[in-house]
Amino acid sequence: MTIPSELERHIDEIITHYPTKRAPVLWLCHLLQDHFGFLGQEQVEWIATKLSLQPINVWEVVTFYPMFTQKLRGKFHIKVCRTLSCHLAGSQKLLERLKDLGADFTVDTVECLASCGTAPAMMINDEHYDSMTPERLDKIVADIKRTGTLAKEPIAKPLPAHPLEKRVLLANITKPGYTGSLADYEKEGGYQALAKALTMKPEEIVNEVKNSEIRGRGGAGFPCGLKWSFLAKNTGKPTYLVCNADESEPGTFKDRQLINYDPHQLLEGILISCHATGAKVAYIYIRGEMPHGANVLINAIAEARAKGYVGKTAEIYVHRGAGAYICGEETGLIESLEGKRAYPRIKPPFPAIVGLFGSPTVVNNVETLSNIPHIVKNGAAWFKAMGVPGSTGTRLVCVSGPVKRPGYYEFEMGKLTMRQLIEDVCGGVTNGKKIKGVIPGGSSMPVMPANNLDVPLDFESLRKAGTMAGSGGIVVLTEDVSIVDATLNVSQFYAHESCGQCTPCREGTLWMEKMLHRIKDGHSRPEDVDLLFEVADNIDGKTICPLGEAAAWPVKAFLKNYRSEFEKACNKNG
Amino acid sequence: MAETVKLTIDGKEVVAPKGMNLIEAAKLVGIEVPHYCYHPKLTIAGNCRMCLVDTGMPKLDKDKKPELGPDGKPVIMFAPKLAIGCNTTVAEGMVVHTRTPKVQKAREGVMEFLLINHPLDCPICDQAGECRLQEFSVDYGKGESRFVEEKVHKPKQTKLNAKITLDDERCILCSRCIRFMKEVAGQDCLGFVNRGSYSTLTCYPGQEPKTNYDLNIVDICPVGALTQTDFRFEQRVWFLKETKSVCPNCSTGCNTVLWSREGVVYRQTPRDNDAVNQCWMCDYGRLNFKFINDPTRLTSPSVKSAVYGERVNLTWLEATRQITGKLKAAGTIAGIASGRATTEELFLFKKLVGDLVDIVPHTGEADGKLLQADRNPNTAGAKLTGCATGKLPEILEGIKAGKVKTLIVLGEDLDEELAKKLELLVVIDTLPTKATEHANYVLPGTTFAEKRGTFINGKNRLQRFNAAIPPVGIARPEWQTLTALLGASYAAIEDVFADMARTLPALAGLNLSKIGDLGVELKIEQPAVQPVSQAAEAVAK
Amino acid sequence: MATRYEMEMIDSAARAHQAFEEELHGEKLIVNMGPSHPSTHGVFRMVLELDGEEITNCWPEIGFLHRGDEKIAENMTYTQFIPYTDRLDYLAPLANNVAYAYAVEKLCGIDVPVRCKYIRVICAELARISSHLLGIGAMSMDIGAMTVFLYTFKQRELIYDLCETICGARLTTSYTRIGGLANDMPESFIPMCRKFIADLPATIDETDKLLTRNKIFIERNKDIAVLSREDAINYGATGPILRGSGVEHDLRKANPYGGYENFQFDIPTGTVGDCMDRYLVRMEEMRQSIRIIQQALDSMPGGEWNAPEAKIVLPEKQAVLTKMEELIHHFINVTQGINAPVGEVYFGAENPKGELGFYIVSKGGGTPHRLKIRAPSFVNLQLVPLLCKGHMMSDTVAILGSLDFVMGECDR
Repeated sequence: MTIPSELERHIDEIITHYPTKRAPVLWLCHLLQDHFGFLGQEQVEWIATKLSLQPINVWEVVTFYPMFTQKLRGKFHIKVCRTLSCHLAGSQKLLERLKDLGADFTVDTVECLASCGTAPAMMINDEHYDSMTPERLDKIVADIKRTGTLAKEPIAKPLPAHPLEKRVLLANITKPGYTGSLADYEKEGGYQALAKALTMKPEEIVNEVKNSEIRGRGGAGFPCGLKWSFLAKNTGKPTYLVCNADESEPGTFKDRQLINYDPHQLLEGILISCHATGAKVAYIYIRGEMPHGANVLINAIAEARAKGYVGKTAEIYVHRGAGAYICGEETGLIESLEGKRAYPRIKPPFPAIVGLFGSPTVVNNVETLSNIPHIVKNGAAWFKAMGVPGSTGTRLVCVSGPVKRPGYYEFEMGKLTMRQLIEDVCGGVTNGKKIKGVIPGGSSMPVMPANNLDVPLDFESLRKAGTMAGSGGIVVLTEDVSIVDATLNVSQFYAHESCGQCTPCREGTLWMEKMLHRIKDGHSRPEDVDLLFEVADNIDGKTICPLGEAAAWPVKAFLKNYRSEFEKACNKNG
Repeated sequence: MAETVKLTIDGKEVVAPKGMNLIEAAKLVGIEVPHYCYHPKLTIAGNCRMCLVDTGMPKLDKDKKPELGPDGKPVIMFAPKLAIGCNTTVAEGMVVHTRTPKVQKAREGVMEFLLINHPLDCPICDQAGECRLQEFSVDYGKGESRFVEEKVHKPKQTKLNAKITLDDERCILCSRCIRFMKEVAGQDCLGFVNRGSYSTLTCYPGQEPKTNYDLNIVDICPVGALTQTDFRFEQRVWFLKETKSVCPNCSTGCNTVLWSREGVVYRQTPRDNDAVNQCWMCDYGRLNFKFINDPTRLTSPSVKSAVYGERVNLTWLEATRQITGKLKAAGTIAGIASGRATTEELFLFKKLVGDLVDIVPHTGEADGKLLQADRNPNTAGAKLTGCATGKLPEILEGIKAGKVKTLIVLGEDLDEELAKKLELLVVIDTLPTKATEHANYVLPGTTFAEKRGTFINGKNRLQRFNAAIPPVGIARPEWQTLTALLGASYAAIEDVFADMARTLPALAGLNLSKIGDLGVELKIEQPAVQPVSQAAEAVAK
Repeated sequence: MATRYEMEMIDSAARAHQAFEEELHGEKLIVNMGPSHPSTHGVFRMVLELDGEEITNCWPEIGFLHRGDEKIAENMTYTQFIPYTDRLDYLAPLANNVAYAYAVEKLCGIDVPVRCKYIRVICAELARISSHLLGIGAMSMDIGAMTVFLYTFKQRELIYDLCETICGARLTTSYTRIGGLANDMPESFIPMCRKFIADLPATIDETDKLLTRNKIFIERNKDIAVLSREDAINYGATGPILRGSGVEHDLRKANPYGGYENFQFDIPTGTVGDCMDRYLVRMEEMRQSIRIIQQALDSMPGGEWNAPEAKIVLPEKQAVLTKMEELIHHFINVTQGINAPVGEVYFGAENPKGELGFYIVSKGGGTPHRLKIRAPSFVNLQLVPLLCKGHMMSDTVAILGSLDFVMGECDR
């Protein structure tokens, strides 16, 4: 097995991005798999030797991330999303079309591809396809078979703004001729905020962000400025900023748009945040299923470096994930960045004290960081004036399901209720059915029953309604959806994504999946309804990281609000 | 002086050193917090979730002072979620509950999760009887199973390396073995592959554990996933008698436990002693016990019969009578003692032989951890009793030259040619050697498993060990044999020790009871061992 | 009668001189009775000092059947000790099983289901009938009425058949378990038992006819070995002996246990306290036992026969072979025993021979720290010297028969 010198040069360059020898493991796995098509023993041992690791260290990583394969795949790897929104939109029908295609094709199901508004979504190799139909799929497969090559799939056009939207982050993307390049971004006033920030003291920026009261947009909703202020100072160790672009929460697809259409907004936010927190190096951890997004960012960074933005006050590197939802959890992400299995860490210590490479680290979501230039440019008061107290500013929500206009929208927080969003902005339900329930913040958040949709879309109101704003991924479920089926689908997601480190999640998620299979297939007993709830309850609050809650809450909420469906399914077989 | 912290656990007040975790703090007041992945000598993993406890801190008012409730006691704010005891450090005023219904329910839940994919191997699993899964299931878990699905299947009965068998289905993924191999043994070779419920413990093919400390992972594995291959299906542990002992394979003197039944030793495990071996022992020492039950063990005193030309068995009485008679008539008596003999034996041997005595050095490569280069467990004891003089070359020369005609050997081998040259060779040993083949008299001794005695380790620590099994045949502990040859009247080994304590100042005031199970550090000032060349010079002068 | 005075001789010379000096006098005869003796009801030795036919002194010796049960108990789990209880009063093994089970259950603080209680009541009462049948039969045979022995033993055979049906063994029943029973009462048991208690009164009546107004029997028993109320209480006598002396004390009524409070029955008591009274008490107790068994059979509930205590009762075999928790609990229960709480309990049951009590000291874990058995026969046997003195040699068999002890539980 030989590594071409060009590839090795690229690898050597990547290795310089990290202070430890282990961190580049994921990159090397990607590069070697792209070259050889798989990661067998030879490849694993080469990487181990190159990085002065033990072969087991590399093998652990290869088997943890589903994007990596130990056996050669077909030339064309078709990946159909099987998670909630795509499943409800008919991904099963796509899979039925993909039988017996021949040795050139490998067909796999994958978990949420973060494109739910245009479900069903799928990928072939690095190309991403939206709103796929069986007919279109047949044509694509036929084209591949005929030409032996894969045609490039163009990226979708940005959605036009709805009158009820207030676009701040998405302000640029629909401007005519806007390509997201550095030149275009600067034309719209980009990088002025960075210039202003560099004249401010870091504490001033932190205070401004604090005063804006912006809360994290990744899912937890923790106040961003407060998180920055926790960073340990004077440790003698460097500070790191990590951008969490591992958007994997089912129902969510907002960060994808920010990266694809306006990458420099994110880069400027990162550079300002580095200055504010004292970080000299920032990593953008982007999920492996967004290869296009990774390239966009790499090119944007190159542009910004050429202009003297990146590399002057801080360095930004792109780090690709490889198919693990758990890397969206901040300490899981940190472990993955360090080149290990993405096992979330026990807290304390918190990342602000001991984080990436043992140094103080702050992890922020793409959307949160994209807001920073605007806050610095226009001031905290301007930001606070938008939204409602406790949920300031605007946020992107993503709507999927059988509505007239699914997609991403940017609103002032709290100014719209869920019902208004679905009816007025998204045009209501298309299939003539009544709404059964709405998931408000990604599949991890408890479902809102149809009779409780007049809740304003802000953090506090949703919390009071017994659910959470989460990642902003809104999934509309109509009455034709079998809740048992939806719960099974979601449970399969969590069982597949559980990292396996701690007992309750590792064992409990698969147990729930197996029970729900039985319930769906009609082999269950009446006591299974309560048992399912109890198992979910036993996971809740006992795990290292919030994936335990994320797996338990949907099951508990579905059971609570639609118990009769489960009981009916369980009583069918007596 | 370490600072301490006051906290309350289950209503009991505990004074704990700062930095201690809750599992250890609870142990101080006799409360058990069940746990799997936590080990006091390894880093914290926090993944089993079995040690969840309810913790609360005093509510502080605006002056950062504890707010007092109507009963005058501080108001305690309990954390919304249970915390893991292994990763929670004690704090002043903390209140911990380990028995409340909330904690019990959490334990039952975690226990249930651990068991749903666990194979029904108890009837064939070696760990049964010392299995923490069984014990905590009965003590803290539910009595009934609710799992009716198919369990996850993983590789069973695989060879991790020649010494260790790995059964992945039994593994509860606590990662103790991974952390041990990386942090203590120094070979980062174990890891988990695959993800979620399919996570499997394994090692990379060709990179199996290859250290001298691999078998410690069998000790620390809380279930029967890692088992010692040569102990597989040998004995149920509740039939085995545990005897506290000390490893005789090098001068570290790791504290051990011998597991025996009806005169056969089945395995050795380390014993906790922070001053010597923490809780580990090396594989070299651990596996070196099969010789105890070797079928060729010497079982009876014997004499090389001039009449028959072969060996003839004697009674102890007769053998002692003949030997003492011959020793009286002999001229210079030389003695070769062993660094593997106990301090008591060496003390008596010195009395028997006098000045012309030395031990045989045995060395090997030290591994930088527990195994020392000096493979004799009692070199310090030999030095203290005067048996390690450095005169060994002189003695061997003397035999070759015909100057030394009478030799008593205690537990060592002798060159065949030299043995043949002696007029009277008395060998006290346990297994047949060239020396016993050519000796005039052979007196059977006992291994460390069959007698009581003490060793002094390389750090001058006096440690005692006990008899686990009776001697084979009519073999006797060497101190009894030497007492008879001396014509002394020690009735018990305690008497020998008492005499030793009277004679050797380093042992003053000690007795076998006072040594205890963990040993005692001695203050020894020894005359330096005379190097050979100086002795030769002295003789020449 | 001639006056009698006692004198002690210093040595044989003095005795010879005395014989020469005085008129004829006799010597006391020391007679050894037992331990191998058909009428001592087990291995019991009595050394009797006789003046002619009259017993002037009596030294009972026990311990010939001592097997170290209480020490053995310290090395056994509570369940492993159950077969040892069969061998205490081996004439009524089921009653011992029941008493022991209740004692350990009291230690563990658990309660058994009603069905289990009623089954145990039936077992205990059958044991009582069995014991009294043997007591009366053996006593009668010793006195000379050999036919009665055969009649009562015929019924005992039927009781053995019932034991075999319910638990598979005639004598070594080991039927109860901590928290329940070894197995449920089989369906076939009920008609068998009903038939038995329907037929038994005929035998009791027949025995009654043969003995109660039989002149010889009366001569042999009436006013023999009269035990006063005070003596009975002071010597700690229990069972038919105590009640024969007129003390109306029966643990089934005084400290009701095991469901006895739900049944109607009477406690027969004597008036004089002689052998006759004790015999009559036993006869009547058998009739009352029949009453209890009848009621228990009629009101037997269905449902579980084991307490729902997963940490104490062995799980069902099917579950043990297919479910993890049950396998583990079975394993630990059998190899290490139940985890009994720390504490001390005493439980006394009304056994056929008297109060059988178990005093258990537990320091936690599966084996008791100390298990003391208060055997009724051990206590009752203290009465032998008191009762025998002044009676004639041939009365001993009547007295021993009426005390109805068994060495198995006396010696343990």
